[in-house]
Amino acid sequence: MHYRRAVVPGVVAVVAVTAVAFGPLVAGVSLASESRLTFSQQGSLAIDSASLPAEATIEPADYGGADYYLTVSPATVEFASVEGSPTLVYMLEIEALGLQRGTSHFLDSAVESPFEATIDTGTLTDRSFDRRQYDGRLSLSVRNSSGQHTLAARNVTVRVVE
Amino acid sequence: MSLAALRDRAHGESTAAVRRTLARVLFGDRYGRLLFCCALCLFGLVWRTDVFINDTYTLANGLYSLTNGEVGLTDAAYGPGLETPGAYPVSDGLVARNYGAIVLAVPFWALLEALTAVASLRVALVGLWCLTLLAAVIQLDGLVDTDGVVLGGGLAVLALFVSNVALARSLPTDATHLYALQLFHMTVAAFAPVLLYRLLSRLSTRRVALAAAVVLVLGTPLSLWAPVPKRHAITTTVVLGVAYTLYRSRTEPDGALFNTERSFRALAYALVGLYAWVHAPEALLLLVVLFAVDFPTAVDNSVRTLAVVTSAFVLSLLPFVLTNVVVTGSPITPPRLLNRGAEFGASSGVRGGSGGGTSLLAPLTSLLSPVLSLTRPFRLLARELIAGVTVFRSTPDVVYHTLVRSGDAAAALDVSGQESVNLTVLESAPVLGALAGGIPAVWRNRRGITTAQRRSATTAVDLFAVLTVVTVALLYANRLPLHAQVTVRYLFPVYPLGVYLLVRLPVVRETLDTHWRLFAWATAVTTFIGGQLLVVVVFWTVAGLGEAFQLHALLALATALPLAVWALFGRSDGVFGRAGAILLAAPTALTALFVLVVAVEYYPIGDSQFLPTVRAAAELLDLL
Repeated sequence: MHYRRAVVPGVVAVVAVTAVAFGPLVAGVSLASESRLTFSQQGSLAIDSASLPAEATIEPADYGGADYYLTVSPATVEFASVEGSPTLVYMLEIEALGLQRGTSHFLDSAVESPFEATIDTGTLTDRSFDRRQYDGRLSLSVRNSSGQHTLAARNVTVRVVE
Repeated sequence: MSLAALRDRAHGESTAAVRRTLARVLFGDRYGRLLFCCALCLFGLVWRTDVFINDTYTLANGLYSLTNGEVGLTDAAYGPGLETPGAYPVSDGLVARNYGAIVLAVPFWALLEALTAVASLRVALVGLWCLTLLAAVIQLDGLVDTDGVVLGGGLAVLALFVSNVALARSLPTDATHLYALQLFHMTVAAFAPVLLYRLLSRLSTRRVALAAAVVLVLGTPLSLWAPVPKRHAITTTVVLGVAYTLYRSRTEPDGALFNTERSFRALAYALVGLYAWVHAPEALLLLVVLFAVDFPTAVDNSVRTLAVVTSAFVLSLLPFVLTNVVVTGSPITPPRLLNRGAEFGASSGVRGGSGGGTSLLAPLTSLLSPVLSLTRPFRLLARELIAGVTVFRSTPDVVYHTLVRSGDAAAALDVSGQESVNLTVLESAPVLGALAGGIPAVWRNRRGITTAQRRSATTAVDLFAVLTVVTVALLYANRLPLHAQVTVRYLFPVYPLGVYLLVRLPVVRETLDTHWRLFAWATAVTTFIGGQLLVVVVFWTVAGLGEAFQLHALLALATALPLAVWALFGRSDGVFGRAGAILLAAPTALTALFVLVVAVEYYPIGDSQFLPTVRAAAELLDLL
């Protein structure tokens, strides 16, 4: 089987030539570099409308884990304009628990509208809940170099599911 | 024929002979080479080119300093600063630890630097991964009768290479020290299945040995820790290496390089001595266990043999001793013992000297001090082991949360105390549930074993495995359960030796020997079809990391339990054998899946998966 003799040197040659071609010795060919998140926060945005959910839940972990998870449904945002790279912050605050949970969304002008802002599901270290439900406040705000401005907000009920 | 041509030919033949000998010494046979290549490819699949546990910063900075000609830590090239976990203060700065691993990673670093100079590091490393896969294909070709394995395999490897390069992003070239450490640890870990296979193929059939190697690679968290520059990968290979050389030291020698029982015995001790360079306390434990098993059961304890063994051990300790002298100023104090040594050793030594009768005892103490300082490590070890026994007796719940079920125990929580991500031994490697079959096996031999059996090589290795597992558990008992364990990594020797002991059980051995095809198919089906179902279940029902880990834990226990019942029952004939093969396959595949999703989804460490295709899949799939 003479072709077998060619397979190994063939593959090795392809690998070696490709590796060198993408290397520093050959100009003009290079790999895409790591995309780094930009936190410039230079920019602004305006919204047409935003719809925030009315409820959030605190649930014990399934499968015997020790955690409680706080789950908030996404908010839908219609942008009027996005300029530069502003940060959209979607936040839940529960005063009675002294708790603030939010997720920052780093936007740029290529962002699609309507946009679904989420709050990452997170664990709660304090696991003693003396009430079945708490009052919370959801907010959507924009953060940029000139500070943070609230775009929309509403009161929500946070249910504790046992 | 001219003289020059003759010389060339002789030279060529001797080079080929050296290559053959080297391949035999390192891998044994073609199956060994196949296992090595496959294991390396699997480790590459789950390799993340970033820091998983932050004491890796210390090792990377240690290698950075060493490649700049300094032993102590000089610059924080990696991580937030020099004072990372695992860095120890000495009089003139900080030092790293695991110097054995750091020094042996230097060639890997040099290779990476050379690659960086001429090629794209990402493409070159992806290429090397593909070539390792091609090497596996070539080994496979020599083992099967089918035509076209090399051609088909070669084309598949090329397709993989092209698709990976198409998706590749450049790898930061300023972290070669970290990659070198990771590559070194992966290479060492890839010898673990090879050694297990070589050991078991001598005391059982080749099929059983291969199945055991598969169980080790897929069914234990080995591949999760292989790319992490910590001692666990090295420990695995060392304990298996010691077990293998111990066996060879008691059987007819037929080695390519070593051809006496004595030399294999010396090699076993030398491995332990060399391991002290990486992690001295565990090496000390291994030395005690090895000696306790080897000395009473050896056929030949003549002065000459003991002299050879002792000199091999002393020689193997040289790198360790030299490093200690340079780093800490004391030949027997490794960096790792600097803190704890001060706590334990100083209190015991100083108190003895400063007691009531100081004036009388002082000369005696100073006379005995060299002896005392030499025996101090042994006394420390004994104290730790006794403390371990106390823990086992006084806090069974801690033992339960370490070995069986983690669940909502505080011990299972991660460092920030939020997610239940620290699994137990059984949840990490549910295939070890079959060790329950050891109970009837021991019961059958309750009337004792014959003298011939007692002297046999197999018994020596069995004893070494059992003693190592028990003493390692005792050594760490008072520190367990610890945070940042994920899979009880402190007890890592339990996994390879557990797999060895598993296959020593007649019921498992016979099942794997007769139904190895069914075992292989069931493992593949569980991995590829069960894996998809698992991903769907995680996607729909899991909200966070703790929940996901506990789902894996419950699934693992659900497979470990019937396996344990089957092993207790102890039948491998007919339908029982077939059921056993499936029961062994399911937990093996579940652990493999767990490791895969940990690397791809749960701990992507900033999407730093090494293979661009794996990374792309991880970015597409959003499980949590």
